[in-house]
Amino acid sequence: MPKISSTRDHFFKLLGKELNEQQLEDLTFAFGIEAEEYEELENGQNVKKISFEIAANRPDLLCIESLSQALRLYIGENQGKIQYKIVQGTEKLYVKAATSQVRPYVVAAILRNVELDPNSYQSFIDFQDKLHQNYCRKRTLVSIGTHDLDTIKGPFYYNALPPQDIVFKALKQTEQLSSVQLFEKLEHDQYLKHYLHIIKNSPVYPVILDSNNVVLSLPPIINGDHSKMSHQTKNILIEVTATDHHRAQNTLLCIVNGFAQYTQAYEIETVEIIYEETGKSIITPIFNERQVVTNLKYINGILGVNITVQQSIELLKKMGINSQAIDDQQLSVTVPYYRTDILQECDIAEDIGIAYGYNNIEFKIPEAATSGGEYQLNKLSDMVREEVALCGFVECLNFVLCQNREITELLNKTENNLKVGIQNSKSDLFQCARTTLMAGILKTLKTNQRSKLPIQLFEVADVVHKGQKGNEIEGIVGAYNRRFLCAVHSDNDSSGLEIIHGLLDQLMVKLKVTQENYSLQKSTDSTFFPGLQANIVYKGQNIGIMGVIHPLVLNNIDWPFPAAMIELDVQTLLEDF
Amino acid sequence: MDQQQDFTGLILQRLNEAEQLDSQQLSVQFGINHQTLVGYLLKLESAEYIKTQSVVSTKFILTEEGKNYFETNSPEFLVYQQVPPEGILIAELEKKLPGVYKIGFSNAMSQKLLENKKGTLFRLVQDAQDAVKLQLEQIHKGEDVTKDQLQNLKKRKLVEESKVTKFTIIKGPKYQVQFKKQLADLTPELIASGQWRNEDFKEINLKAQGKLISTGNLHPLLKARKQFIQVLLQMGFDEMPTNQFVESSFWNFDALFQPQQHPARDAHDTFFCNDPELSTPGDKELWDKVKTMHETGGAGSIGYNYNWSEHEARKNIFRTHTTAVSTKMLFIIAKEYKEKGYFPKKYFSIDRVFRNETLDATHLAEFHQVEGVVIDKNANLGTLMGIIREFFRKIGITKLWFKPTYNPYTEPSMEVYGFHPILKRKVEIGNSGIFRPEMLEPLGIPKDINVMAWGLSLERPTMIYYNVDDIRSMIGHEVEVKTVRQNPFCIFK
Repeated sequence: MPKISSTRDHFFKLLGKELNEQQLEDLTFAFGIEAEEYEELENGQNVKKISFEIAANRPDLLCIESLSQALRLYIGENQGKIQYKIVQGTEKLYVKAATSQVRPYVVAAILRNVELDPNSYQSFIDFQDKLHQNYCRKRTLVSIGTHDLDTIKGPFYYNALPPQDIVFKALKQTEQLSSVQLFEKLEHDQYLKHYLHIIKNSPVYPVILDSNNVVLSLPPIINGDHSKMSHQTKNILIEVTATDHHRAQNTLLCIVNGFAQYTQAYEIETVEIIYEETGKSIITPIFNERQVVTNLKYINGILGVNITVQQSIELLKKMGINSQAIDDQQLSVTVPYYRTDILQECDIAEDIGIAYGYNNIEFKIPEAATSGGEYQLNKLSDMVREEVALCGFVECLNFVLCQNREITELLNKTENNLKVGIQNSKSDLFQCARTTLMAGILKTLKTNQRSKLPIQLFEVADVVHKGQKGNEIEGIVGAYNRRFLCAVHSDNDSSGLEIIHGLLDQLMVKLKVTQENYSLQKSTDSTFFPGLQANIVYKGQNIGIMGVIHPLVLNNIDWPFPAAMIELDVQTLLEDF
Repeated sequence: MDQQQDFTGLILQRLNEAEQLDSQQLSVQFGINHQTLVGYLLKLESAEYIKTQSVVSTKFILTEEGKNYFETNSPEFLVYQQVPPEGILIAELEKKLPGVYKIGFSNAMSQKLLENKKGTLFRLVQDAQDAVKLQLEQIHKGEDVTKDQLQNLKKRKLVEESKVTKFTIIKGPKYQVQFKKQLADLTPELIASGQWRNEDFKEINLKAQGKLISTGNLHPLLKARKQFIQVLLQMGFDEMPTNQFVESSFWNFDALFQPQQHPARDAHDTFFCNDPELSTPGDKELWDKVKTMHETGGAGSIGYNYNWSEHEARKNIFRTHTTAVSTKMLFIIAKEYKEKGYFPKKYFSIDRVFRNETLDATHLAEFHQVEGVVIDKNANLGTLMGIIREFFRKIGITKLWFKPTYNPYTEPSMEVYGFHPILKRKVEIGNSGIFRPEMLEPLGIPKDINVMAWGLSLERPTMIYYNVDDIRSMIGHEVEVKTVRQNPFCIFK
């Protein structure tokens, strides 16, 4: 979950009320965010700060201005919220056809007569960064550029040009560079190097220019130095480029919603976006406030409360949402333009629920009577587990994921064609799914080198095999689980193969498998010692193996004593039981 | 053994002659170590032939240094011995006795055994004895020395005080002069012959430990799982078949209305398979409905407004939650509803789920998810909290709080917090919510039916229950057999 932070003083000033630690915790808990107070050394001074964890679906709350406004309304600190005026602007932004090759969409807005201070300017920068990291998916889908409008001259152009043709002085650079040179330099920038891949291999790079060909930005990487902002900037141009038009618009709406409060007249000015190729023109931001009609029966039904239309309206107001009664059963809700998370009626019900307070809702046990039961395979394999434990074996619980070598080399094998591999593991401990329980059992044996002998371990669990199983309705994944049993015995003077064999016979008795239905047949598996091993054949089908473990395998786990092991596909037996 | 018998008999004999005995004296008289004698006493006492009473006293014993002087000679005596009647140069003496010279010389001088005449030493006393050695010998024998001598030896750290326990021995209730051998156990012969009537038996040792028996044991976490299963069965839940670890992204994410750009679908969080990399799509109609729901919405929703990719949905992963299975169950039950009409249903599962994490004390790349799903026309947030409270009450967690949260596929969504008895504060113990209409409609669940669900990990409450702080000591191959053997019963109260 994304985190934002602010100094304690700044936050409570914006909230309009000071809260103690418990009050802050109660408020944020009820609202569904997390707050943490801490101290940080800033310019040699300890500064009291608060950080907030915001849910991933509320990009609009990723700045302290918007968050404090939302909380202010929630605690009823002041009635109503700031209503911004939308002013039709005259600035135009022309989109060249070439941009469709790399980053096809752009939207823009202007904030005029802004009064920022170092605190609010920092918040403005932080907000863009948080949006980039989260809603904009690390700039891949959307990226934001903000500029001092007084340093540049419209109309503006969004173009895509070969990298060597884009020459400008970028932010924090000392000289003009072509974007080819700039990229070479930024490869060493600890922060920006992570974004270069987004356009690096494109034949053309996106660029925003003013009417004098001044480079405003090279989205999604960096802005130009020429139009850079400071806390003294008066007029701001916000441009948002994207591969996802919908997200670009939402991002722009989140920004203007958070920062139009610093404009003198609470105004947001639009920009006309003209796609040159098609001649299509869009005026952005689009303040499209949807009306959603909902009714009491639904709200009371889904929340388990009993409230009136009027109460619903009041509760929605606490969440910063305006609504009107249609009659005593229905209300029409105006979805704020920046609430990108509200997709459906249920999202409105949730806001009413949060305003009502989840913990104020009466808890009831559902009246519907249902009868329960166990999944047959699990129930039977639990019986097998208990039986094996009763036979004196200690149960293991190992990971499904393991290293490639643990299902090959460790077992004295060269390949494993049942293996399902992992593409992107963070840890080299997890490279594939186990195809056998043997590796886990043997590793557990290794852990227990100082244990009293004889030692007897077992596990009944699922392995994963590659192969076509499934059905056309659900789809065919190409891998499936099998429930296996694996058990090992080891003592200082004998492997105890006859004990392992005895375990098999005992299980077969319990599973009502008669002598004529299973037999042992000579096998040649490299995990086991030649001549002291056998396949377990059930109704003509090979369902497992048992034998004395090969000394090379024992060497692999540094186990000094002879040992015998069995592995069995118990699922086959359980399905027949 | 013969000797042992001898002493047992001897002790009994002595006790016949005297009212009471002193173990310390007895051991000296017998010429055996006191500890050895105590062995016989214990044997006689457990057979109730004798009774003993311990007497703690202090006694002086030789230190290492004291023992050394006792076995050889004191340094001053060694120095004295090296001084011939005609005298010796100090420097020469020093060469002869490196190490002990310094201390020996100063002691010999202060004891006036020698005199120093301009660098040459002469004997002051002829035929002196090693007084310190003699005193040490007396102490070793348990004899007294004078107060001054003792003080001096203590000062020189040659003796130290030690506590000794000795026993006063008197006759016990079963005392006889002759010790009759006690049998350890009954034998088939004794039982058959009736000879047990004439034999004396050793009594049970109440202080000894029993033999370490060989046992079979179930795993601690799976014992906890059994309790959870029982709770859920009691509450009318039906277990889902969750034995499918590899799933398509479709069932794990898309069918749950989780957008394809959602961070949970990132390679950072989810294990993607490289072989088999892609699954074959299932029900065409369902896939189309899901695509439409994501792209343009439906069921009163505006959708996510992006281009949904079938390829992305086909990517195989290790499932990140068992909700992938719940979703399939909903798809199946929706078909049943078409044939049989509506009936309420509760499902549960407890099975493995996977997250792309590295292993540490509190994080696992795979853990057990406990999930409950309720399909009910009257399901709502109040009944969801009610059933969650009932569930947690049955596993011993009575104080709960609910916090609004965000899940892509539930709305409203709630995190469940419980009171941690050891940390003494609220901790998150689960997640819950009511499935979104955008998820239910493509699966075919009628609009008037609500589906609610909650989930938690099996590991977390089990760790709290067993007070375990490193999860690796509980799951995986690093678990010791001893841990499993000694793990107590698991029952939630």
